[in-house]
Amino acid sequence: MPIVETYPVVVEGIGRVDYSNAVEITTEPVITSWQNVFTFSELVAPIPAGGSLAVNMPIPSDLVVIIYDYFASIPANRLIRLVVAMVDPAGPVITVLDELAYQTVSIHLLRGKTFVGSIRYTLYNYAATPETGMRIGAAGIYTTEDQFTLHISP
Amino acid sequence: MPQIVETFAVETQGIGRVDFTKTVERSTSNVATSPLRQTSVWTSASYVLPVGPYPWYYIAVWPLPQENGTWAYPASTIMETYNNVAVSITKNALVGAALVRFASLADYYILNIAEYFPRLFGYGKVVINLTTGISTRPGSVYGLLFGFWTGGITERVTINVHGLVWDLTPPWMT
Repeated sequence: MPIVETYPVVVEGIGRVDYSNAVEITTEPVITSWQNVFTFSELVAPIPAGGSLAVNMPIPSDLVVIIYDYFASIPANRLIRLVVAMVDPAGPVITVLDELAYQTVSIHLLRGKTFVGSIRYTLYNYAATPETGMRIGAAGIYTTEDQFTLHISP
Repeated sequence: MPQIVETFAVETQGIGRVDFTKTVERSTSNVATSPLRQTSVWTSASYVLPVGPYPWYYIAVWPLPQENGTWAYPASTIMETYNNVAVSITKNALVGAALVRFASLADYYILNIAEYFPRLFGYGKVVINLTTGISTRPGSVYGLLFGFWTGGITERVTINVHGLVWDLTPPWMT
């Protein structure tokens, strides 16, 4: 049962509603509690020579993950490829990112990508030997589906 | 100028968590950072360290501000958020680095890592950028795990961790 609070908001200036007086603490988007931080770090190995390996990161069913940072890195200066896809059990697999780099793929999005269901990382190894040291990572924030869905009060 | 007062309804959801998003959604710009509530924080250090025979690992931890004005390794409810982590070495040798979390000081003493944040490798340096940042959890100890693969004996090593420190964390975030 939701509890309803009311509080006054002061309007200042012209054509600009200043909500900061009453909500200054909560409109700070950079504060991310450790509870809201989503990170993922895993060793993906072995990736066969000239082959690929896919890893799914599951997302709890009632949560939405917004990922800003995507990483893949190996302890050698060799070519790798990272493909990130959204995997919705009821829908298609949609590729979000596909990048090649030597040693490290490190992608930072100013606006995070939203994932529901699970995230699939597919790693490619172009070397003639299996890759045993591939580390993958992701960082972003958790939110609830309820908060993620836009609500505007009347 | 006359001031107009509006009244909004704010719903509370969950436990100890006030959800202001529904009514202030129009006004929350993602650049609306109040300078009064944030301060830059960093750890910047340079050492000459043994780096070989390889691989050679280190864990560096740093003290965190406490509510009573002192400093200690376990995080308090004064939250720090780390956005940039960097390790570099005076040689184009392989470097690996990660920000790590220990669940407690006791876990740090036995090097029992509870959580690895993204780990990267590089030659000469590693830079880990975390757009939304890693925020400290009360009671946990944070450190930088880094290692080198080089045939050298000692090298100068620099580490840098940059982010923000917040005053007391709002209670629903602890």
